Amino acid sequence: MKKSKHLSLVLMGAMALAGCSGAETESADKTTIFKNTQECVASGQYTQEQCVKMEADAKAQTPQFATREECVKQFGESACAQQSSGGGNFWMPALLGFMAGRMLGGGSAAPAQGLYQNPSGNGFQTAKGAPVTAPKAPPAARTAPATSPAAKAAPTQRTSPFGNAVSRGGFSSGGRAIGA
Amino acid sequence: MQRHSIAPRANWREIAEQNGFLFHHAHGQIYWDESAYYSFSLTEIEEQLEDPAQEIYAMCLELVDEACRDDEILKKLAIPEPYWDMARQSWLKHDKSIYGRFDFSYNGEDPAKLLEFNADTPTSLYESAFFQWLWLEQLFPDLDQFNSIQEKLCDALGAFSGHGLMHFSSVKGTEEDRATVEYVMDCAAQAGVSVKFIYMENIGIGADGHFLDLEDERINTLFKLYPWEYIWEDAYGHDVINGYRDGLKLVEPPWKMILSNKGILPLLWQRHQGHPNLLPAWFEEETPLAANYVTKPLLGREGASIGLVFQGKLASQTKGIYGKEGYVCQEFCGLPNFDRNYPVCGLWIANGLSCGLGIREDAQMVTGDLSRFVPHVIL
Repeated sequence: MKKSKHLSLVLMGAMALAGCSGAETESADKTTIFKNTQECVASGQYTQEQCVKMEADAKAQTPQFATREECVKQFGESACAQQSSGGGNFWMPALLGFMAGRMLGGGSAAPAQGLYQNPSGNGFQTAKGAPVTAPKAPPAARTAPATSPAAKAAPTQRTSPFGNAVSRGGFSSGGRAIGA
Repeated sequence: MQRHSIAPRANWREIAEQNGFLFHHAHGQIYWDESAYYSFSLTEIEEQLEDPAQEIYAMCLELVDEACRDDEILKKLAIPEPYWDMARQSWLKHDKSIYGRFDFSYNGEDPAKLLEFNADTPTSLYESAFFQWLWLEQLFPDLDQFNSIQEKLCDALGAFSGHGLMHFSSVKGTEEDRATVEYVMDCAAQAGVSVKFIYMENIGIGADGHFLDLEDERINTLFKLYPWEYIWEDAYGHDVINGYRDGLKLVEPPWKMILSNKGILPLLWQRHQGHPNLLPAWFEEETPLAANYVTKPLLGREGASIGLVFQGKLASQTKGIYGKEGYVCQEFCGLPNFDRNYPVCGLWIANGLSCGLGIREDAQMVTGDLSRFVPHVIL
């Protein structure tokens, strides 16, 4: 076989479905993987309210299965647990974390995607089965620069229209398209 | 190799848009064209396209290695001297390259001939790597396609996981470039990288000389769909040199400025004269090696500023703003004619591996930015 067996998009498709894949303005600006709300809040990237909502959205997307076999087939042996609600029993994979996305230019959160174990047990996948590789370092460490005192204090210290930057716009020789 | 006509999927536009593919038309004309597809035998793919692309990539890397030890080559390629050290350091440090695209002329019979290497800012990535694959899965799930580009791209991007936020950038005002960058971001996110987009024009510099995004977050790793030769002319050019010295990572890396240059065509020919997949090529100041040839600017794109010389006389010239750095000449090699369509085979290298094919066809002999992308299958 010269082709890939399975491919997915985790940002582009989701953004388009949410009706916000505008080329100029509102696409996925930033994504980070968090284990839970606490880690999300600690990163300093989102408010408590946004983090709670993203985790709740991810939980709400978690697929439910009538039988253990169906759940195991998609999410692996160890991930599936029985749940009961309203008198009915069903099987669900454990939510291991969520992938948070932010819109360009604002702070509003794009729909978060839940992360689950993949069937072979060696990585993450989304509810739809798109593979997502686990980050090698914990998110808190990776986002440290964003929460440094200087960055946090920035809004009140700004005296220049560039923010903390002493200049902007030194790239782009004439805004030519790049096709090649 | 054959061209087949086929009815497009009735709802292909919807499918495209659901998958974030919004640039399926360009300049008012169709760009994604599924009213036809090409079929290849496995032998054609493996022996005539995949292997030559891998071999020529190895030849390109040898050339970079040589150029890093020979200033004459860097001079010949018109790379400004202040950037030489960065290019050399980048090669010696093995800075990660994620992708590149070779364009070949191939007719299914004769050896494929290398036309050029888009080593720094190759486009048509999303449609080659993802949307073409989706087309195959929906129409011909039992057939094969030369395409594991996305897999290899994710493998390459995985190297940036665990090193903090990675920024991704294109220039304002081009939907296609923005979408290409979004696609690379998507692959990076799947590989566990924390990603953030910023337009090139919005990048700033802090008092300490570090690049900053609009929220004043420091840019430590930048994927730029922005050619190195633009950076040479930018106000921030020297800041890039200084930033690189201070640990800024750039993708494609600085050593790619050596390969993203038509000057490699004569340099490859000099070193591998007679190679079945290379065309005779020379610098404009040298003695012509053929009576019919094409002149290309050292640094040009989208089929602009290309001249066609027949029997020593200039027969045609495409419009363009390129060429001030000089020209190279390459023996004329017509594109094959399939029902008056002229396909160019784009062979993708991702994570160092020859891993996929994307065909763009045109109604003219020089592929410009009005070409159409046509999918392929392996029978």
